[in-house]
Amino acid sequence: MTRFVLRRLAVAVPLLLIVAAISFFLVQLVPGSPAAAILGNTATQEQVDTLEQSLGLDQPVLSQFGQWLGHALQGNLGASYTTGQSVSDALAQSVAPTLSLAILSTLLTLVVGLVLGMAAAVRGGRTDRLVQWTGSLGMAIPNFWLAALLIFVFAIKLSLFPAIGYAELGTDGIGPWISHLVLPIIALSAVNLGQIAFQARAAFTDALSRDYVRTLHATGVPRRRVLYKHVLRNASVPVVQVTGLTFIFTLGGVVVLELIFTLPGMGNLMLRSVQNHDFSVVQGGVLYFSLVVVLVNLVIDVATAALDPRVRVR
Amino acid sequence: MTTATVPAHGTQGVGEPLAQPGRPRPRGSFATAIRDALHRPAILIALGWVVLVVVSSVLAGVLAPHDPLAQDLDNRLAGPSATYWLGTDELGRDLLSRILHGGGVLLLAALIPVVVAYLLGVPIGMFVGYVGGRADALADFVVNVLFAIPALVVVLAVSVVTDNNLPFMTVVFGVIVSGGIFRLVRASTQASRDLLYVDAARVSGVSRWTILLRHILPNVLGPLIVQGFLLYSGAFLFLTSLSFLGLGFDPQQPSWGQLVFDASAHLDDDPWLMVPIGLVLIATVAALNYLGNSLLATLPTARRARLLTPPRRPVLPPEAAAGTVPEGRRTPAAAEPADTDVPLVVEDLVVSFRTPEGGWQPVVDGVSFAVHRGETLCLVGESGCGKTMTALATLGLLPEGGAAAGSVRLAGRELLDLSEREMAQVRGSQIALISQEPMGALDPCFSVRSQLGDVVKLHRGGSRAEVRRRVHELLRLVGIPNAESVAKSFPHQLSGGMAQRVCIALALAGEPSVLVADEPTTALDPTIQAEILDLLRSLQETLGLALVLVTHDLGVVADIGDVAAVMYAGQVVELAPVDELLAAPRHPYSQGLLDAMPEDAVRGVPLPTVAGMVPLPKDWPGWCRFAARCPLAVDACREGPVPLLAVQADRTSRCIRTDELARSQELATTGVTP
Amino acid sequence: MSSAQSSAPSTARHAVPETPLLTVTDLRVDYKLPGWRTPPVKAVDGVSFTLAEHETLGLVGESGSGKSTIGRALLGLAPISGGQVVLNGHDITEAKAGDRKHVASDLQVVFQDPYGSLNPSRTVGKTLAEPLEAAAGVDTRTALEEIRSLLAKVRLPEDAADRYPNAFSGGQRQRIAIARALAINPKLIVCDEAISALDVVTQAQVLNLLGELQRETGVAFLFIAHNLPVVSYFSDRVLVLYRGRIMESGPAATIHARPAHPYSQALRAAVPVPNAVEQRVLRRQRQEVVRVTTAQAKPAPEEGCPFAPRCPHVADVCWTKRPIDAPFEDRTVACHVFDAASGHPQAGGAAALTAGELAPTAG
Repeated sequence: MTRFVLRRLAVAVPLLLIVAAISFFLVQLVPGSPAAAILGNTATQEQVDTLEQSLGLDQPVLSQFGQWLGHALQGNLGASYTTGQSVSDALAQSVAPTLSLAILSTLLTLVVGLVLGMAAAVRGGRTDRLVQWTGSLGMAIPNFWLAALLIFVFAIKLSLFPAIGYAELGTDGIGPWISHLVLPIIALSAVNLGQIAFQARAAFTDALSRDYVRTLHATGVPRRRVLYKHVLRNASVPVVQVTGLTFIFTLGGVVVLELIFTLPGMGNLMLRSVQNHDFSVVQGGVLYFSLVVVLVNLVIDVATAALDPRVRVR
Repeated sequence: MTTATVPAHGTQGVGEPLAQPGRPRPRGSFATAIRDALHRPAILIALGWVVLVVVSSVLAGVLAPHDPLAQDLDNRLAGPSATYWLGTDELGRDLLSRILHGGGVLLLAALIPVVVAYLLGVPIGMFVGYVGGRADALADFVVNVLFAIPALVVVLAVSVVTDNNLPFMTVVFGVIVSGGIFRLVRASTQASRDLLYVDAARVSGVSRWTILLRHILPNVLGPLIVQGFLLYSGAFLFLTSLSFLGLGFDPQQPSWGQLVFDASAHLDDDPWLMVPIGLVLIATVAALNYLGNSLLATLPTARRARLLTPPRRPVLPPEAAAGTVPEGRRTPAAAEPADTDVPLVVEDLVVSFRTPEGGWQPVVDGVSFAVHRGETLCLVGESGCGKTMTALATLGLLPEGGAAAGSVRLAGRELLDLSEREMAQVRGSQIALISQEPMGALDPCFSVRSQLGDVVKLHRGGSRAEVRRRVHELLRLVGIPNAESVAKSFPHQLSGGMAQRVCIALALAGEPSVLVADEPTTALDPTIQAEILDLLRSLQETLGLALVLVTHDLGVVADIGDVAAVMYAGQVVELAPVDELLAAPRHPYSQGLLDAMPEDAVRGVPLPTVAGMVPLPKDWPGWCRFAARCPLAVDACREGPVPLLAVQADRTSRCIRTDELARSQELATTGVTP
Repeated sequence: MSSAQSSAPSTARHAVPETPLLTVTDLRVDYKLPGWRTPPVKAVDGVSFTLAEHETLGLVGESGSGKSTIGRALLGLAPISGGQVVLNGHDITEAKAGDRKHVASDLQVVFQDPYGSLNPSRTVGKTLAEPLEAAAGVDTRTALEEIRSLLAKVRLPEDAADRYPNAFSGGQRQRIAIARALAINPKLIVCDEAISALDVVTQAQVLNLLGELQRETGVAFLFIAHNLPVVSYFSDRVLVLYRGRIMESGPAATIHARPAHPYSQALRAAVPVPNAVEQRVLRRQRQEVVRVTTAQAKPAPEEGCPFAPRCPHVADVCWTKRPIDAPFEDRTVACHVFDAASGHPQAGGAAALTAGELAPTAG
């Protein structure tokens, strides 16, 4: 198991390097100079040159990349072109709401999706159709529209949850933290829930037809134990793997929902920076988001290996 | 997603006829399925909606009652009226016109990522899937990178560097999602690459391109078309998100995401604004998804029966419970029900499966036998004769859709009347099963110790140390000397022979008196088969087990059987002590099986065979089921069902021509030609 | 050089009876395992044999014996790591699948799984036309005539050509696969477990068909199977394989009746016969011809004899030295007991080892 984790880490490192390169060179695609874009149309060539020099943009691209990477490894992603604030600090301050939302939503979808998929596969018939219909509906509702609906019903009409804003888990306590996250999590989970439930349904249908189910029955293991111990574990392996794949789309949803619920997260920071043409923050943000994806996928790999010993040898 | 996996023999049981639906369907059936689907109202509605949305977006300029940009400041946030059918927004612009105009660019732009993903994913996926090796490893790594990129965030970044260039942003999105198409195509190609018919084409010297186009692409095409629909609806949703964020689309022109954004600012004073645009979005995505998923359902998949027992055991209705053999013609099993020396008695067992039409199709039709303590009864016959279903019915473990009637008595207790809960207590402790595929019979996620320990704990209880000791004891009992290390292993680390020994240990853990073995050695090599047969025999002798062994191999019958029941088309056609059966069969089918074995045959002399095939259950005639293939058949054989007739004191045969058969055997051995 | 070239065809023409159809010399197939320190698996470990025209050579062995790998290596479907394969005078060692047009007309195959070996989305006619088009360059229209006669050869109705494989039973599909192999009149057909997946009656039907076709067309068979009785019934000569090596080779009838190599004896005794009296004898013997069960056996030595861990005649030399192919009567046996110079304590005492027939044949 340790060797498996080490092997996965060894793959993750070059992956991160390439992602870092992509997020760096993305900005190089800007037609003309970033400095010109920052200063706008009214700037003179001299102003642009001065800014380029102060940002180090006059040096060769590769040496810029080397410098940027060297600094990035030390946790320094440079300073914001617009506010002058350290990019790392800005990102670190906004990471909590984003991760809270993404991770809680992923866990919720995983658990509820497994339950729904299991119910559909085991019971079949009407339960199956019900799960399929609700799942399809969930997948069809755009999360931003659902968010608006939730705000209208639960915040404006029923006043059950706050419509916007965020509460720190550390300073404000768990109650306010959760209540600010309930609506965004529901809005974020609806789309993925359908997908995970369908995957779980397929995985359970497959696991239920495996020969070991018959063997376990034949040795006298009761039905419930066969289902909740053996079938559940086998079926959850592919479902957990798919959760990893959907995570990148979950992060996309987070960006949208942060805007609606005005959560002070990385998504909002990115949107702001995009509007302000603040390339260094955009650059750092892409890297940060990718880091989260790689780490989450690592956790998911380890989780599947813990569930299924066959994965460990791969 | 890809082509069907070959169903495991043991789970199929009814043999070839039911194996067919799991096979890939011939070409043309995809088109047929689509044609069929077009007759379903739900699909027509979904398709109709998509067409309506596309047409009205194209004709928006003609259809829209107002200019989508024209402001009517007197009628701001007005509800539906005769002038403004769906009301107006904060600037008094007509909502209906804005919706009509707001979809076109979105629907069109969503095509770009799909096209890009296909152009990249399909050729590269097929190529590296086919050649494998380093190209494959490299492509896989690149895709891993793509999967580490949060699509929306990167597209945000692209929007800033390209100054909101929508085509460029959609292309980047297409590149990122092409990883999914690549993986799908690569997986299907890899699965197809090693198919035997592809090998056969290679051997014939068919060129690589022809193989790819002719044998591999068709297997990839179905999943790909389906995925196209889902990808398109995903891209559409993604682009509405962008439009909602105010990116990529011209802020001056209406677009659907932007309409939601505008509406969300007036949740408190005009919630109606949300409704029309929301319904249009949901209906469009739902219709696309529904079409995609309906296509998915038309793809051939391996639909295998669930093996989890239902909470309530299915009961055959009275009219199906009798099978096809009339009441008076049945034969009672030989033994007294309460006799302790006869732990298992099966009488008039009928096993039927639900047909798609809602009826019941018998696959086992009035089978009776009894097994004595310390005795082995072999159920022997070709695939499709009902022997496996007979064996599974005794344990109440028929696959989904199957039900049994008649009588199965274990130590005098009627098992068919027990509830599932009561039956679970009987299984393992009184009657146990060894199945054909030892590898599949063990749960891959749990170690041998954990699986065996669970069963030991279930039946005997005891402390952890006691359970552990018993596990090792059981492993040694089945001939595994290094019990410690095998106990630690996971099923995938065991060889087939070792796995079968573990399966036998599992079956013995509850100390049952009856063991049912379904082709326990068929999947094993000859020398391993011999070891397992020796093990079963010695266990039977030391533990006094009654053994029911299902096999198609008369050699195995000779090795381990005391009594054999030869089955044909769901019935026992001959029941006899093994020595006598093999020395002189009294049913022409038994004779045919024996003749076809090449053991004593001479090179160059053709093997005597029975012409034709075993009939499918639906084709069983109302008379002797073997008559159509029988060399001795006469008109009398086709007059009605043939009962099991006593041939000698301890043998029965379902044949009215046993005398003629005996005569022909005498002639053959004395060498006199008639 | 030039003289050799000009003389080659003429020798080939005149020396047909003497030159074997297929000559395999020291064939090796290694499979690389994942992990940079794991040594490759020797699936085929130095196998040499010849096969004459019209002959049937049986390859028998258990899983891991390399029998199917040999067949696949000849067909260009498994990578050859060493050795040489000469078919009909051509060295085809390097001929990879894909540029095998010239090989295809001499060498064809029938696979084990009758379901997997036919493309379910192509009609039987199209399947049969494929080798005709690819190797013989026949166009579709003339192929139709050929297909009709092929179907007749394997006793299938003419209208079978228009149907899809799923309309046929396992035995019928195997007939179709045989027809495909016959399509371009090859000199040699590799039958890779061609009858193993069939029920016993169907198996006999297909064996009879193969026999008839051989008499009609004179095709040679490389008949690969795990069942010694079936192989020895159908073959002229038999190679007994174990872990990638030939243990024993010789005439089918003798190996079946009096196997010499301890492994051949174990294999022979392991297959039960459908005769209760004979089987009782065989059952006793199968416990005597092996020392320990596979579950108890130690791993096989890297050098030495692969059967050493289970062999009742094992001596020190068996663990360290690879046995040579020792001649014995009309066959060769790769066992130190049969090699007088091997240093095995029983060396040269081969007669004792093969004293009795394994099973009494009751007529």
